[in-house]
Amino acid sequence: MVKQNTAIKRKKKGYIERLESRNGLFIIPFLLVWCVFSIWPIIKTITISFHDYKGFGKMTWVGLDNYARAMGDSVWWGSFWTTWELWLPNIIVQLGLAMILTMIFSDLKYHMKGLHVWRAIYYLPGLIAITTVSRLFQEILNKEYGIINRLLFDWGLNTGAPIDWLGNVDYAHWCVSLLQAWLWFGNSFIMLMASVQGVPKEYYEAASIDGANRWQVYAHITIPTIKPILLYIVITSTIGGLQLFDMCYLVGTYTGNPYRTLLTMVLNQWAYAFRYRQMGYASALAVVLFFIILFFSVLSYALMYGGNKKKEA
Amino acid sequence: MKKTIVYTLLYLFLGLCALICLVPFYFMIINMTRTGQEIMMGFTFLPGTNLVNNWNKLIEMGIDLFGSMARSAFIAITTTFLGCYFSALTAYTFAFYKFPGSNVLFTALIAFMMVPSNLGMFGLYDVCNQLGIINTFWPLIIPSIAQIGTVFFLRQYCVAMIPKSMLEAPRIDGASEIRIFHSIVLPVMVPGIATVGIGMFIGGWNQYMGPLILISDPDKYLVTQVISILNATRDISQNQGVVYLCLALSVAPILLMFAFFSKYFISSITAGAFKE
Repeated sequence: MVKQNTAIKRKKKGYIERLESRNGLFIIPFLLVWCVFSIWPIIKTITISFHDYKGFGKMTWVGLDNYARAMGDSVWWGSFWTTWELWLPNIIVQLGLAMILTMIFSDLKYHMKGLHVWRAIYYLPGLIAITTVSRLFQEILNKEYGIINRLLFDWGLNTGAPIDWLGNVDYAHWCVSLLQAWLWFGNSFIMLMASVQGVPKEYYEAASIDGANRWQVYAHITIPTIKPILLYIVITSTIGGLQLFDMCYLVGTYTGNPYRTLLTMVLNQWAYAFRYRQMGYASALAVVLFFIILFFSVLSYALMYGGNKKKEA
Repeated sequence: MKKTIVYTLLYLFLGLCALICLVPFYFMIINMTRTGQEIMMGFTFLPGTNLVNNWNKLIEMGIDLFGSMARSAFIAITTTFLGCYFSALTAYTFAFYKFPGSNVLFTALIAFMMVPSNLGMFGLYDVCNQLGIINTFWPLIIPSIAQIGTVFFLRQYCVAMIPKSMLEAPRIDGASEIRIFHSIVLPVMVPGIATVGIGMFIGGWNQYMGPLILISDPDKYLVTQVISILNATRDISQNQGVVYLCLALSVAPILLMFAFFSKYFISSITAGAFKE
């Protein structure tokens, strides 16, 4: 009887297995498209990076010349630092604001109403296309007739010449950086809030019974719980920030005006590829950027999971 | 007493943050009803009377706004449907079938998520050139079939929502596997698909870099491209009101969707972060 059962089971299992291996064919469309539009382009980029190539015509093998050139290129190094300069104020403001809002909404004593309405409002800027946002702020920050300059003048805060916010070396990168924060803080806030809401209520109740004050609750319950999400936000923001392109291109064109203060790494690549027609050099820069991003991804994953393991042990 | 003051201060802070988010859009809406001259003179908090005029001017100037919006809508809708269907199918396959190399492949895909899209950018341009599909919508539509992040999310969703026993009854009844997918798995996955679908639609409508590289024919420009060259047209700088009207029209579809599906928007944000 038992033998018979296992025999049936084995037979059934064999049938399912055959079925399963045949239905693996369902992923073929995915694989095909993935290979043509993801893998092939990447192989292509890497190949081009070893060549002198205009984007059309003949490819000439130059070995590692493009990479050597990148290391000694002061414009590239400039774009490297610019990218970080644009990212840093953004992440500080964005996360700071998101943290403050999360604290307000998760407070034990004060219960703020209408979370889903506030949340929707804060998320609104992130929904709008970067092109629209850039055009809108080019109007708002315009030197001659922009609303900001008009207000500063009307309120007597700036009686001198109107400020060219996006055309001035001192202000342009701050404007772009803060605009990035404006775009993304709602997004960060929603993620932080979602992770706080995942904390069992009992923790907070127990803490308040034990007489813990607000800051102790933050330090020992809230912050440790949201730490993985905090790290996640920082990682995705770094990876995204290192690839910042559209707003800088829309505000400062392909040269990253004013005076290259908005020339990010990807914008620099774009200019080489499609304006100066040096596809080989642009591709080499893309590969270099990939390794930079890989380095930071691995580092942050190590911080994230390495830290957790230590705590468990 | 103290409590009231703190509450007031907190709500003031929340209100201030909300103001910062909303005021630019308010300016946009106010200024689309005013003439260029009025806008240059200063601004008010009250709408002007020039909306119809701006609209007529927009039509008159021959800005390809509505054509580009139609093209953007077409691309956003097709990529959303293709992306949702094929991601769900792939996710289902990875969740329920063991085929040779399935584990290796899945691990490779997860590792591949770390590769930034920027790496393939120039290669993609070159590949599309070779295939002769530059200046067509194919390279904007077809890649939506292979979205690893979406597949990963939906696979987790599949595993969590669909017990394997659910597939056994129809199998015994002799239903084909693709039929099981269509009539049993897909309906169960709808909330998860809606979550990722909304993100796809927004991404499709808002995309800029892809079209910038791949579409250079002005007759095929998407809405983001048309918006980005608004300031390049000489006579439009004389008329700021029309610029604001164009901006407002270009975000209207997204805001409408947001008004109706904000629940799915919020869950689509957290979808990426809470994978495990």
